Amino acid sequence: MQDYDAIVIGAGVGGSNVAAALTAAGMRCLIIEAGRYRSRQDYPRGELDGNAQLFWNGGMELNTSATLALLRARVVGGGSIVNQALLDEFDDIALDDWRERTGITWFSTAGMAPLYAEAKASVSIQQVPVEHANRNARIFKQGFENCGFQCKPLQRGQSGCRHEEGNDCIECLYGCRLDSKQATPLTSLQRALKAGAKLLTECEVEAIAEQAGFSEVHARLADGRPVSFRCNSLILAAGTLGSNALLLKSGWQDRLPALGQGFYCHPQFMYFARYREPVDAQRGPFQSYKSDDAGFRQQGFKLENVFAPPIGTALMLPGLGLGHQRQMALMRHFACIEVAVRDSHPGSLHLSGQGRLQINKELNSEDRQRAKAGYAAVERIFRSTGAEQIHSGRFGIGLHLMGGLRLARRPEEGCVEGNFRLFGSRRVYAADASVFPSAPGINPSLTIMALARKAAAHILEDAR
Amino acid sequence: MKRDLETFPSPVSRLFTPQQLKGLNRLGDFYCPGDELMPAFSASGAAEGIDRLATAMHPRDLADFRLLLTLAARLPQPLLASLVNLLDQADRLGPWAKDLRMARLGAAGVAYSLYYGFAGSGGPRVRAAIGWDAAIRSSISGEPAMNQLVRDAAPDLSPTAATVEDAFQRAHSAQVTIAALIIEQRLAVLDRLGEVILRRRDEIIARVSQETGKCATDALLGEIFATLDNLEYLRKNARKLLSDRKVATPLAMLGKKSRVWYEPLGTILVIAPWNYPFYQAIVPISIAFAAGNAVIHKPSEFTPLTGLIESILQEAGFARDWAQVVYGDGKAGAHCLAQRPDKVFFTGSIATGKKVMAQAAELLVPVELELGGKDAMILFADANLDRAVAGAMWGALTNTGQSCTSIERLYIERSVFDSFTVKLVEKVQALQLGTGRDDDIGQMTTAAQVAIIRHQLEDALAKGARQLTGHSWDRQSPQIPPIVLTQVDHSMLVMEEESFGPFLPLMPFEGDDHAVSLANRTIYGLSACVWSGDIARAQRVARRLHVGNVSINNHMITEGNHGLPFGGAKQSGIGRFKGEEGLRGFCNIKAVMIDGNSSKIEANWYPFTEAKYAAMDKMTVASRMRGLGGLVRFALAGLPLESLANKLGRKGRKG
Repeated sequence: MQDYDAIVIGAGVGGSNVAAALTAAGMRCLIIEAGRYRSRQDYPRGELDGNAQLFWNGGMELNTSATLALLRARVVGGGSIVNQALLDEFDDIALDDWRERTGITWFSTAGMAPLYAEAKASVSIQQVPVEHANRNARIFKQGFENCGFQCKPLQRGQSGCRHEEGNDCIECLYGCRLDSKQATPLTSLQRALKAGAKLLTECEVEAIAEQAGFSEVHARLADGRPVSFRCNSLILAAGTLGSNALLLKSGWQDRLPALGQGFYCHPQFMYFARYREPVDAQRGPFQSYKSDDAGFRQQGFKLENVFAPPIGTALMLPGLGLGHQRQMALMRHFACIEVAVRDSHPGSLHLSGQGRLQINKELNSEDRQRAKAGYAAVERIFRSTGAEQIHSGRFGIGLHLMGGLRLARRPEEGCVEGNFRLFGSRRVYAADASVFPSAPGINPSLTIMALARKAAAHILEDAR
Repeated sequence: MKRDLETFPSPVSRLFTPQQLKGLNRLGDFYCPGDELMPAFSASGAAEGIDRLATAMHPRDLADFRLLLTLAARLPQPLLASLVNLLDQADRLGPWAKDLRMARLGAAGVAYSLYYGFAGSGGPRVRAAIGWDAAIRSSISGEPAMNQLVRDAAPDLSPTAATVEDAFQRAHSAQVTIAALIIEQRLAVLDRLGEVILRRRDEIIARVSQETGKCATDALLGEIFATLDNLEYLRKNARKLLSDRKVATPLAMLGKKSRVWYEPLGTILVIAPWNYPFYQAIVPISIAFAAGNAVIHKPSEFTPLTGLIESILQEAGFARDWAQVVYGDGKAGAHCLAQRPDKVFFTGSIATGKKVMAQAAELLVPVELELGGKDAMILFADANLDRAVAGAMWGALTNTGQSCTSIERLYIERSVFDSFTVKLVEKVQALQLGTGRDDDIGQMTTAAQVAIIRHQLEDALAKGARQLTGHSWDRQSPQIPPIVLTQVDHSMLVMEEESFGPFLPLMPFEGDDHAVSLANRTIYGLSACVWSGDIARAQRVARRLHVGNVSINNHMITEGNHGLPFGGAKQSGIGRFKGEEGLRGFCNIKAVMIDGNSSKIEANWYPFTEAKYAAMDKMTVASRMRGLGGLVRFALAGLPLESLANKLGRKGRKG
């Protein structure tokens, strides 16, 4: 007798969507999440507690050369609590590459269209109201116009941010206290629980195992108590780093030769420009526009209209001591644009001797070229809008963590078959961004939702 | 002493020493030196927020960071300045500089996080200086519907069949390791266990008090002191009691050696009650472990002390699987029993004990049951009344009466009944209720137990009992004052069923026979006490009581001596715990005989012949004769039989 039909590890975007679909189809489902459940009532206020309480390792995980900081959420809702809920469909450039790599025929805009439509129908999507755009966004748009680049207003998973009441969405990087951002506790996870899924929070899965006839999950509760569960179908959705680390810790590298290979993260580089007049980038909508430029896409980058709260800004700004502090005092005069590289050169994930996840991820010359092209565009935008000084961020950031368990034709090329099942396994699946075959160069959230639904359909089919 | 001060956590931080905080302030001042607008890092009080951040760090990062701060505290200012400057250049250096970059991210990351995260009293000034005014100004009232959904979705964590099976499998393999340890090694682990318990006693007392509601002194004595006492008993006696024992060999078996070996049983299942959750975990675990067993401990679901027992055992050097804790209610206990432990040691109520025994019977699992009691106190008129009053109060009320050996019936010789009652009421009213160190009587642990007390009280009052104290109880609160009852009889529940609460029901008697018959008028037979100035009389009466334990002019003290066995007669239980009997109760008591590898053929082996029969018959007759003559006759019969048997054995019937 198994404890559950299915256990989903991770209550982020992938896990919540797969659990909602499986539970709706009548499966007895348990979702295990390492983080705590928080609601609008108790999201941390401010960046210090936000970093410490909502992310693994206090918000800072580095690649082995300590040039990239990778952020992964540890909270019920995962990335959907701390992201910007930008829900974009992939284009032909991304999907053609995936189809070519995997042989999966529905990786095309036509093949994905029904999945995207379903995913979008399950959340509230609004265009960020441009009448509330802050000066950071207006500089972005003005610069694009000045330089002849294309941009357009953002589509975002939100249900009303009430900017007229003076809400600053940068605060919602630590959880949306307006219940506007369409995080999974308001959407897919809520559907899953309403349909009867169980949710175990603050429980860290330490190992999984597949036996003849069932799968096992060995986990530890916050108080140190070990718990184990058995299930038929086991779905990894702990996020790219989490799912890879779990399989590595469980000793699956012998079964999966490509485990941990093909790690991508859309390396992002922030640039701050100082203007004479206050920019007040912290006001109103966090972002209003996105680059929509075919030239950028071809060159392998995109530009994002973003900003960072004080700690992030302080860490990014060059200088030391009083010089640095005086720049911080001018924070309200900074605009910010970020270059997001569609990284072509994969990294890899390993376990160190002490059992800690080791992230090998560098930019090769091609990816550095892409970043450089992005910076050239940023510099033109800032110059054309009257920036007095431009600061380059000290290090790169990875927010879109993808791969390591790539969908593939053969086990030499990846870890997951077209049905989202691990090669050689009868009942272990992956349903998060770890299955991405390459970096799409587009925000992954909507596609994770779509793929999770597809994965759920395969899991149900296999279980029949 | 100096070392102690430096390694002891500071009042500001649980995780860093004052010296490390000093290092943080020195480091922070390089990153945020302050000017006329903004305070310096050290002046802003930002360092006080360090634990908010550090608790989230990876343990290795935390260790590295502590090292960095210790260094920062010790380096001379110019050297520290050069170090900070070097780190600041690390972004521009090649891959080799990764450690420098990590150190810079650690140092600058923490400094900026605290300073620009507005920690400390200077936070508002920093916020104002950088003009950070982002806010969510709308507010939504009410509780999100999802909160209830999440609460309802929490899975039942009572262990599944799989968890329990896994735990038992690990226990079985761990037991091989335990058995391979020599007794001195096991006792060394138990010695460390004692040290850990002593060091962490405040934490243990706090947890126990919180989960049981008992007062601090009850927790200190009943959970800590008694547990340490038992460990001490094992340290002094276990080696001797578990050593191979020589047994005399009868004459007919001359030349052979007889022994008893005390070997481990295997895996012991301990199912513990909620009244002494720490003691009832550690004591059976340590006795079973001393005897070489692995243990699965199933605490009461009311007082799980989650994680505490494991953490203490681990710190003492127990490997994870030597003693495991399986949490849950009776279902979990049944799952465990279904795994067929080599013995189940159950402490709890008669009702549950019957269920345990029934399940164990199916599986033929040996049981030891420590069940409830309805202990009687017999007070003769010649006893020291003041001492008896004080003893009766403590015996009935310690742990708020929630001990299986609490005094639950007081039989007082009629001539002193009134004077005893007056003294008792006066003393009882002076007792202080509460869970602190100044309090005498703690709270009831479970709501079900409160309901039993209410029910028994109402039953007694309805049948004519007189309540002399405890009128202030609202019959709801778990903080129940002691209740002295008179005019009680055996038609009342309070005299028949276990109360497990702060009752003192008093009944007069006349003469030894009357006292004995009243005291024995119960299905229970756990313990009793007899109070008298005439010790011989007290012992005579004590011998007539059908109980497992009896104290004279005291109560419950047999439990205080860990060399004495503990257990019940009648329906109060089966088996004996603690002492020699208890330790050996967790042993497979193996009978051994060792014979030589000689050419001798035993007389009782084949073939049997007429002549051999005659010789054996002679010997049988001789074996019943006493004295020297008997011995000679026995030898005279035995020697020819031996040579005959040897001849027959070697050459066969024809020989």
